[in-house]
Amino acid sequence: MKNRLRVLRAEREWSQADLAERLEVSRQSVNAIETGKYDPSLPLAFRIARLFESSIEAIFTDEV
Amino acid sequence: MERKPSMECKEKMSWSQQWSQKTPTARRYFFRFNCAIFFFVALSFVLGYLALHGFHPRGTIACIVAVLPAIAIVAALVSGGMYLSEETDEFQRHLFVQSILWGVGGIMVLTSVWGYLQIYTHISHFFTIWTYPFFLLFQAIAWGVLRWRNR
Repeated sequence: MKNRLRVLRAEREWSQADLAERLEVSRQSVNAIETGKYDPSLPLAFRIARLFESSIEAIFTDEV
Repeated sequence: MERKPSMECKEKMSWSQQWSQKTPTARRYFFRFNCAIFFFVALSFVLGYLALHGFHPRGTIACIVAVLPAIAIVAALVSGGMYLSEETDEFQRHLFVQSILWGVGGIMVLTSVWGYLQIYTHISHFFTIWTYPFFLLFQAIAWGVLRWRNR
């Protein structure tokens, strides 16, 4: 699954650690999601979407 | 000085800093786990030392002595279960579960191979008391590799 997390984060000038703190997860989690190594659960995807004031579909796409 | 945002996948952080990064739940887990393992190692050494010096209990005493190290193993396993139920970071949970699977897989492969070697060759008997330490070894290696790959 692809995502726009890195772009959205960079637009806000947040580091991975900043985003991790806001999402209350570890920096490794943010890195794994950004690089596509790990797909977040639905609750975490909703948290990410809420944080970026966007929809899940606008951040995550099911393209391989 | 203003910090610049990073488009890099991984921000610059030393390996030791990355290694020491643990969630509060993980720190609690390691404390509980280390306590359990301390008792396991201490009991194993004491019982091993006593056995070498002529302590060979029988009957009920033998059963109690045999169960003592297992209590420490159960405590270590319970601490792992508590970690999985308390950890709110799902990715860390995912890594932990993966490391357990590698540990289980590793010990099953080792004991199977050893078992067949016992049948076909004159290799020495595998003491089953080494099962848990080897499981831990495989799990620890897997945990380290997974942490390194996802640093």
